[in-house]
Amino acid sequence: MPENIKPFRRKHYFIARKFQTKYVGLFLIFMFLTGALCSYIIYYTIMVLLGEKLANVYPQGRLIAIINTVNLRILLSLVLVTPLVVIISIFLSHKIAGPMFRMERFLTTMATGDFTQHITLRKGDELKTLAERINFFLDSIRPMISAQKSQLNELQKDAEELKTNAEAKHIDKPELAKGAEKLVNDVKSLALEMEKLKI
Amino acid sequence: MPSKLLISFIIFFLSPVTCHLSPALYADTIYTNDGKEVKGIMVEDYKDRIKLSTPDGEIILMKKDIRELYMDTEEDNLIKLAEQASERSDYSKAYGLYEKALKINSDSKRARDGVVFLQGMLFRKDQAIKEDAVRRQEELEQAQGAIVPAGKTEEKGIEEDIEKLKKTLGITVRMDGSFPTVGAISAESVAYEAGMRQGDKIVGVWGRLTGYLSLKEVMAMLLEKSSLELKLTIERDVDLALNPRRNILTGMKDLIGASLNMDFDGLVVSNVASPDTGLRQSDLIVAINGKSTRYMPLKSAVKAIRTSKGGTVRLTIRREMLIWRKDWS
Repeated sequence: MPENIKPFRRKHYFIARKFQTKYVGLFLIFMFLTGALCSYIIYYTIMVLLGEKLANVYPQGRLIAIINTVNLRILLSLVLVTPLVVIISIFLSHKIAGPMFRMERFLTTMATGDFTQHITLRKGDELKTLAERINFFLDSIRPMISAQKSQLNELQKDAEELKTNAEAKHIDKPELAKGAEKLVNDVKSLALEMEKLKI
Repeated sequence: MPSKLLISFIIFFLSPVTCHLSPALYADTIYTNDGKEVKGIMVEDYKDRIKLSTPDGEIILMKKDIRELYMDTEEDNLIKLAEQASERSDYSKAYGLYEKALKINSDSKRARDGVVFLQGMLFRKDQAIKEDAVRRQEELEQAQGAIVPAGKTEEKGIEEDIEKLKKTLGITVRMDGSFPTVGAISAESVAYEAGMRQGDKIVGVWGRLTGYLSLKEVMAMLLEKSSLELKLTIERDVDLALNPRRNILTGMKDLIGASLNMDFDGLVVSNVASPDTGLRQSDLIVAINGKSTRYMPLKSAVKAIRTSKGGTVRLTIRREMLIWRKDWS
């Protein structure tokens, strides 16, 4: 794990607008549908059990006024609860949208060849397993790439040395063969390393 | 977001909701002098009795048999207390109680009527006290002059009231059953201008029912000098011809020339096509062909009108009217 990881606090909760708006919308639809279903069940039950009695005792006007008051209160309650639901759904969705946003940025950086980064998520964030898998993948691939890189450096160094020797007039043949063999061994090691990757 | 903030949000938003939805199911409760408890909905309130709607039907309870009465809402309780205070002539207290009721429910017709009535009453209180003193002095002088039998004095008093009524409102009133009825009405009178007609029953004065009152008491209410205006509720039968070309799809407006709505007070007339129908906006329909609409759903009322026999329907309406007295001195 690289050492330059900074602990971070997310300041913005509305990170992925499209995704979170959809999430909030779904939450609201679910809430209104639940409200409508509950109201229907309550009304239906009351009317079946008490409808006749109520209609015989309460003058119709008053009964309708009571029903209108109940309807208004249900509507008012839903309207009052709506901002709360919006806040909760933004809060909950940012626990998914935040990691998603971070992973997108991380993968974009990785695509440029930077393998030094590491994904860190906040406490309570979703998609933690996925982040752990990505970090595990990086932890596995990083030594491989590092080894390949050092072998490539070795190869380059040996090739330079061979070139220098070849240009020198006093060099003898066995020494050149030794240098070429070293070069072949370097290429073989690199090929062996590369064989670990299935493409 | 810190969880504390989220919890605060939940408490902030849910507290009014839970308060609104907390159950408050009560009925009007009456405790009688013999220790009985009767629950129901008070549908009519007269001076000496009340009509209570109960699961066993409507029952009448005499006020003298009632020890305590609790209405199902605070507003109704306040109005009731205000009425009692008003009966005791404690007008300042009654005014305060009506105002409190109006604060709870600004749409309350009874509370508003009470406030308007008492505003005039309190404004002219001093004047009334002086007039009372003069009247008492005159009565005393008359009594000293000659001994008049009590019955005759009362008779004379009613006759005087009838004359005053003719002078101020242009109407005469007689008792017809439990309610006072308009006997004769002058075509130039303020009452006629306000829409009152011969045969109209005066069922309420300033929102208070006049049923089961004596003619003298009704006269006193009508001649009350509290204010220049007088708010009356009259009851009248209106015969309407149903549209002969009606079919199953004909709307109420095409059928009788007005629409019907179910309001808090009951079945109410709206969208009147023409005043010639005899109906006015906000008329309360209390009976259709003699059948009470109190417990009748709107659908049933429409059906009752639509299926009325003989191509006509008789609607018993209640209408509120404000009469501005010309001479009320």
